[in-house]
Amino acid sequence: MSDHNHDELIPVPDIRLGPKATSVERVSGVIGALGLLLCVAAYFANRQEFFQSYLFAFIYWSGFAIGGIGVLLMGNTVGGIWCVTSRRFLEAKMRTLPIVFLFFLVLLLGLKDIYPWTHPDLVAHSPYLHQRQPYLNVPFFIARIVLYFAIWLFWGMRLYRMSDRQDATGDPTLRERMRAFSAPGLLIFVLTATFAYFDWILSADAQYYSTVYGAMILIGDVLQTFALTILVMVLASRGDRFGGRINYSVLHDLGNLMFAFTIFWTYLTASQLIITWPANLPQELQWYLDRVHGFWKWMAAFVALTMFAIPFLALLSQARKRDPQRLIRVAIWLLVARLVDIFWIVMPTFRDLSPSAPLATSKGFTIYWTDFAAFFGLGGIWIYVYLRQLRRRPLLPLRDPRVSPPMPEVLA
Amino acid sequence: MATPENLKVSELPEIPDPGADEILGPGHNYATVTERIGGIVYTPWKRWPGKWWIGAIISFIFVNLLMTAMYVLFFRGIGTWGVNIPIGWGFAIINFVWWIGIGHAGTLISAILFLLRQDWRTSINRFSEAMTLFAVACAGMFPILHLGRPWLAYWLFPYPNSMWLWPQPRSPLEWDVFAVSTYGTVSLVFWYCGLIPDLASMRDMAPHPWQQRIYGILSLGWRGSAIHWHRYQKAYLLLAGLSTPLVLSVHTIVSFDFAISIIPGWHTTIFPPYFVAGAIYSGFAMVLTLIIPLRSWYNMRDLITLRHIDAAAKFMLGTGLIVAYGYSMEAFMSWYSGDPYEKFMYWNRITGPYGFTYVLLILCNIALPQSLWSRRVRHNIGLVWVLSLIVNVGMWLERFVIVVTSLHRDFLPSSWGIYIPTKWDWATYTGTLGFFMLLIFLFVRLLPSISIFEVREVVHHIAHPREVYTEKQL
Amino acid sequence: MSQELVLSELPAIHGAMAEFDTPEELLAACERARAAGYRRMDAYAPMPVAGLAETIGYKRNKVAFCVLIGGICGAMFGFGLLEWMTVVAYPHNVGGRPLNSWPAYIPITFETMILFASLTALFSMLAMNGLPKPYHPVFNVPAFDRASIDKFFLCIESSDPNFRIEDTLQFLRDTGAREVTVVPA
Repeated sequence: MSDHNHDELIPVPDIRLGPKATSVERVSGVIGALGLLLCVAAYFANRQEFFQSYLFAFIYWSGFAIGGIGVLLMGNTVGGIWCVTSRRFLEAKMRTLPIVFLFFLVLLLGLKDIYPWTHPDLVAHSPYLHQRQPYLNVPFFIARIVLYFAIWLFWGMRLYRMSDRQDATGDPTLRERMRAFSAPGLLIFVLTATFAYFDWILSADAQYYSTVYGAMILIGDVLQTFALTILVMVLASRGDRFGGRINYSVLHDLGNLMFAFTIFWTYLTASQLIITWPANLPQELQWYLDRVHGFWKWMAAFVALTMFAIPFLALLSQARKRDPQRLIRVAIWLLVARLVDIFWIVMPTFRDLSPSAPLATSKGFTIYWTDFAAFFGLGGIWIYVYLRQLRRRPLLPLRDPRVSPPMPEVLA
Repeated sequence: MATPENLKVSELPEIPDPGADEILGPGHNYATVTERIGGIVYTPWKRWPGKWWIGAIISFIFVNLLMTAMYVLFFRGIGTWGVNIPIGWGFAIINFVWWIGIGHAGTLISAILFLLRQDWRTSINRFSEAMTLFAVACAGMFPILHLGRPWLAYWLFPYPNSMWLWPQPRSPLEWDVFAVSTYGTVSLVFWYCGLIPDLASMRDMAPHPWQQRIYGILSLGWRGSAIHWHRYQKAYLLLAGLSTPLVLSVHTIVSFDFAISIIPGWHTTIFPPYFVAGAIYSGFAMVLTLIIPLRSWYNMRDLITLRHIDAAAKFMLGTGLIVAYGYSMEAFMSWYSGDPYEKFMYWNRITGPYGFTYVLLILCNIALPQSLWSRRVRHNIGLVWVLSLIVNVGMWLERFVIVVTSLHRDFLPSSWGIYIPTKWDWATYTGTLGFFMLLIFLFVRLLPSISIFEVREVVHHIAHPREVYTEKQL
Repeated sequence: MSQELVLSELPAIHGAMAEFDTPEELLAACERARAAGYRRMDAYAPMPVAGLAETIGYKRNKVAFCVLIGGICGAMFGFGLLEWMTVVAYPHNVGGRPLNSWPAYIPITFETMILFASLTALFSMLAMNGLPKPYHPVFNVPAFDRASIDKFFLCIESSDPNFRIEDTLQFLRDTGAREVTVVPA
């Protein structure tokens, strides 16, 4: 398809983010600051509602950082032009982990508003919560999450520094070292991220358990990470600033990966349903009953349609995966769909009346203003930090021989 | 154009392995690869390696054992097997799942690696597709034998019968009927589609008219027209694209056979992805088990190189780790669930009467294969071969653990039981092993076991590196 | 045998054929033939050659479309069959599950979709290629045996309006062919 062995002749240009990105950065910073102010107001107005909204926003926005380190480790392990070319975009996502950790520290203030296992009276009355007590208790919870972040940052930052060193020295051995370092990291990452989602979301449900749950959320993270990466890469290369290095071939690969992970996400989600539905066990099925009760049912249908049916049909087309303008439309679509998906997964635990939801704040589907406050507050700050990180370095690795070679077919 | 030297295949000059960076030995052109691969089939019987004869005869003996076991089963009934309530599934389902899993690597190597543009697949895809077909044939036998009245197997299909009865499509066992029959059919189509141009090569190099006639009929008059190639490639790509979700769906449905139930140890949502990964794991192990001796017997070290073995070993390691992830999730959730049956099941799995199988399983599937992290191990072909055998055993044990330990402790202690496979269980199982091996031996005798036209493409790619992608791009 | 002998003795001619050693030579010859105004021709290769079919004027590959139709038919057949079986033909209560148990029908629907699509892929490809074809004139050329081994051929067919046997043979010789022959019908 493409050539790989004469790109040393053409140096990779040191291109940074353009001025438009700076204004986006400023705007999102302002939105984030305003959102955070509203969050403070929400905290005092209705603490419980606020923290529940906050969890939803936290899961959505942290998904990019966690997906970023995950895709980086995966790409380094399996290798590929797509990963080297999009590495800076992934590294910048990984570099938002510290701010995501700050977001998590705020969440600690509201553990009692989210997690039934922090309430001794609830624990005493529920055999499920009672059983889980050695695992689900505040000190162990905090220790685990700190450990996850430490592991992710350790692996992420070492890769980040190796990548910097490669830019500076062009040391050819770094390629293999990054790969050798990433492979075990990927293994540990998958395990820690799985448990992070058990801790953050699954444990908010007072009875539900599902072995595929962590993998299902994690694969969705990877999907949203690919969508955002494609979006930002295409926007950053407007006017062909990279001299044909971000070209249809790379986009085609990324589009295919986005397609594959759409299918993978659907596969895990659908198999969880197909296994739970016929078994009809009360402790499991309640999770689905909460999520198809009243308006939630329409949301479920919406998620199935927007996370699977439409992107699947859209990405079947080879031409669309090679056309940046049409591809980013699918990416934006998926980013919005994932938002609804996360809302549908996280919120019914707090907005429904069932044995699974002892801390509910409403009897059925509701949207509070705190949802918007938390979403825009965290989102604005996250995008601000992400773009600042992206701006610090050249957008393409300067001395990796595997970075996509220039192609005559330029992006519009 | 059969091997020109008047030598036995085993006496041909030793061809060195070009090493871990190459997918083809030096000095090959379009004609030599055709001669080498097609020539194996056209080698006269007297120059055929003695190891082939020994292997084929041993396999044939086991096929007769299978026949005997089937005869005994039909004559005396399912009671000759060790299955009894509460362990109603036993060897039949263990071996069914094991075989079908082995089949999956064939489709994976052919289809997924084709889509991922991994060039190292070319030398082993034909062989692994054949392996898929034969493994599915072995797998399909077990549920049918297990029916009790296998001659009524057609009842499984929906057809308008005189009593207007229809099968129950809410049952995963009915899903299996569709999944396995579709899988068998599509694997055959994919394999045959890949064979058509090579059958034409075989036709054109046949030393005898009768061979020319047989391969001529099978090749459907293929003449290599550019427009035909264009449609052919599209069809092949689409078949690869269709086989990929198919192979995932088949083992997913096999996992549903267990997961749809409410048996602790079976009913768990991680089953689909971890069954699929396990299938690919055992399949890669079987590919390695077979190609490592094959390449040495037939002097094909320059066609199936260390690179192929290294890549397959890495795949084995990766899928093995996904399987390990599945075990950890199962273990954690059985505790986290708070369900006493779940907890008891897992504890019993480790410490109960079948605890040793669990320990062996962890050893074979998780612990020992970790040595594949080391490049030195991956490049030690003998060791990789031994590890591939260990993984085959481990994956068989996994199915044993899932089927037997989940069933033998029912909800009520009054319904507990112990399962001991009888000699006829073992005879049937080893019989299918013989059947599988015999088919493999016949396959390498009768058909080109490496895709010739794809190796020609590799020859062209190596000669014109600038115009093509190679694995280095990926 | 000499060219003259063949020309005088053959009642019908399928075309003129040139033999090449490499795919690049074949591609170049096809381009020249196309530029020279030939339209009815076919190139033969022992392996797929990128861009060859397009060079001799092939445009639309309809296999994918057929497969799409096959897949849709398969899915509709599978789901329709199950709905009909459980709701119309043989409705009965199984463990309190609804007659229309659609989540349980997903797997079989998927399988029939793949089955129909795959069979369509093979058979539509064969049908459009006109295979199986027990007889084809190009096999009359003895050297064509190697079209499936290591040689590359271009055949300009006599049905082409620009086909003049001597001119066409000369044209093929000029493309640098290793061998040029007449293909008897």
